[in-house]
Amino acid sequence: MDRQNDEFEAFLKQFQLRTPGPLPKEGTAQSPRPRRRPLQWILAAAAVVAVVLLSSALVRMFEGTRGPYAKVEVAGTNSLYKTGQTIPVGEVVRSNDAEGVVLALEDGSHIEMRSQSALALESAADGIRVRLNNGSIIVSAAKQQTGHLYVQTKNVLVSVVGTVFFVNAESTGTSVAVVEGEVHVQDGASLKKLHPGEQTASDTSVPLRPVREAISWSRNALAYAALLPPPPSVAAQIQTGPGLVPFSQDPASLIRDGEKLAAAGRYHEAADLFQKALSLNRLSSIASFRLGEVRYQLGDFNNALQSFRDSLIGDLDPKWIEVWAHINIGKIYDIREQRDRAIPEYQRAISTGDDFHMAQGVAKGFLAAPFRQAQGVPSPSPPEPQPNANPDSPGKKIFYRACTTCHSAEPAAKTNFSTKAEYAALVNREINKGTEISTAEVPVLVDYLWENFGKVPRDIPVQRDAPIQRK
Amino acid sequence: MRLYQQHSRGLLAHACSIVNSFASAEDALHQVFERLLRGDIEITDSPVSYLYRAVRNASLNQIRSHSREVDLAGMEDRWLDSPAGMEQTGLELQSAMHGLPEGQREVILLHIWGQMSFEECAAALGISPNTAASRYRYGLSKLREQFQTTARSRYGSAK
Repeated sequence: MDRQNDEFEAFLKQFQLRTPGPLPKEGTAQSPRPRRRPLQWILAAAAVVAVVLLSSALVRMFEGTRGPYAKVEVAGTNSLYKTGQTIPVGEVVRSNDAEGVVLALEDGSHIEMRSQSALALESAADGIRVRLNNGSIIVSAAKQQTGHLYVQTKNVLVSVVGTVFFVNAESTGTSVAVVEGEVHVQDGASLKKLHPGEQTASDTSVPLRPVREAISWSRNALAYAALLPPPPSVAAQIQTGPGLVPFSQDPASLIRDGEKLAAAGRYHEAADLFQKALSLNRLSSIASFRLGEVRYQLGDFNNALQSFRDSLIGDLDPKWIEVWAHINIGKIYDIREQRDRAIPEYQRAISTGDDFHMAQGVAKGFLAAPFRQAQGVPSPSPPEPQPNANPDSPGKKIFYRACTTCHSAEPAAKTNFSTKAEYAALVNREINKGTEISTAEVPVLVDYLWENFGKVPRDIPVQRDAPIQRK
Repeated sequence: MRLYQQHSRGLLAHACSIVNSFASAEDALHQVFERLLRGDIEITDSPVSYLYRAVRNASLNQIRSHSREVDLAGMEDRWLDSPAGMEQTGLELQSAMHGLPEGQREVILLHIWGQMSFEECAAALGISPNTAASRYRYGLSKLREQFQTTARSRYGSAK
């Protein structure tokens, strides 16, 4: 294997495969290790989600009824259940098949179970209780007049008063959100009422995701998403009417709403919408550009720079984005007093010939005199030099010139690699990303990184001319 | 569950090479072991190669059954944990991985992130160790080139 592949392999090993969780408890004799849930837990299959539509007719039907509570409406080919099979009270239903199971209640209500879910239907004093052991379910029910439908998890008891909600429980706790109507969440002694778009968690370690994401696994995800109200911050600005495209499915309206929020100075909310738009259309130059603008306003220059660059490799619609992205990139370099990098950006802006909103004059102005940042916009604080760094070392100069352009020195300080080769790979990777480091500068920079951030016993003098360690 | 403890990592890597989604990969893995524990299936030949075949089939089922799902958030389901500040690179790496031919991708995932030797990869995938090693070598070169091209196209145009 050649050296480049060796280095690339070292680079790949910096990334770690996420740890699989233990087997679901129903099946395991012992649990291998505690489960770690990442932020994107909601897409993980073992979470428990329930959306419930309930009617009094449903509750009445179950009051005093000893008959079957549900029938299997849809079952996967490898399911334990067959279509039409009845599910009596107390029987645990497990949707171990990858396709999940849909249960039909006698009044036309449905419980959609995701794979790896388990529940049992029980009688409650004033209605029916769905005991959710694990997994994800969505329940759609008809309207009710009296009584309740409950969803019981190990953490909370959720009672349906109104129409649509979901419960999401995992090993660390349970979260509940409402799609439509009202639900009551009993968590120990506390009782919370939730309304559409609201959600709560039994534990702070349970991350909350937007409701649309939580229900995205459902067969009816789009329909449920359409039921959800838009975020309150923009609800007033979104026109409703027949044929309204679900909120999260229309990048153009997300961008328009984001622009309104940005104009109102609500940059964080605007950034969320632009990111959402980008998640729907990664090549949207205007979404990237607008995201860059709000990040710039928030003083987040690293990410703003990246967003402006992203806007240049998107669909370039509208065309003026090109000239203004270069100008804004130049401004950020000027703020960082990296004049040598700012000038080419202004030159690129001028070379486009686009004078939209007097871009040419602005670019020429900043080419003649550096852009000065307005008061009040925070600038990123420069990293503290390492104690053993020679203040005038050539390596340090290269490091601060080349490596802190797009990010702070912190990522480098955290590397703590145990071989110089890993630093060589790191530098190689940065060059591939476009960082301007000449061939002659590479060994100097690698030495600097290794001496200052590498995991090396400090009482052993480091040989500057030591050969790069091979794996 | 000795088998689970011993092989879950490699099996998860194998599933990730097919489904490109941690959640689905974990689902597939758990499905196989649940069926095993329930006694629905019996392993008659080599348990390791059986497990890899079963996880592969379960992963393909996951792809089929989840194809109708709508990714409302446009979220990418990470199966790699990235070092601090390299989350975007991690996502690009995942994406580049899934541009590789399946055979090469499998071996890279098992060898690097499943921490398996070429002999172990070969046994799991039912190929010879030499084939595993050469797929790894070719795959790694291709991945490096592809990753660098992506990086250049992403960052190069602003230069």
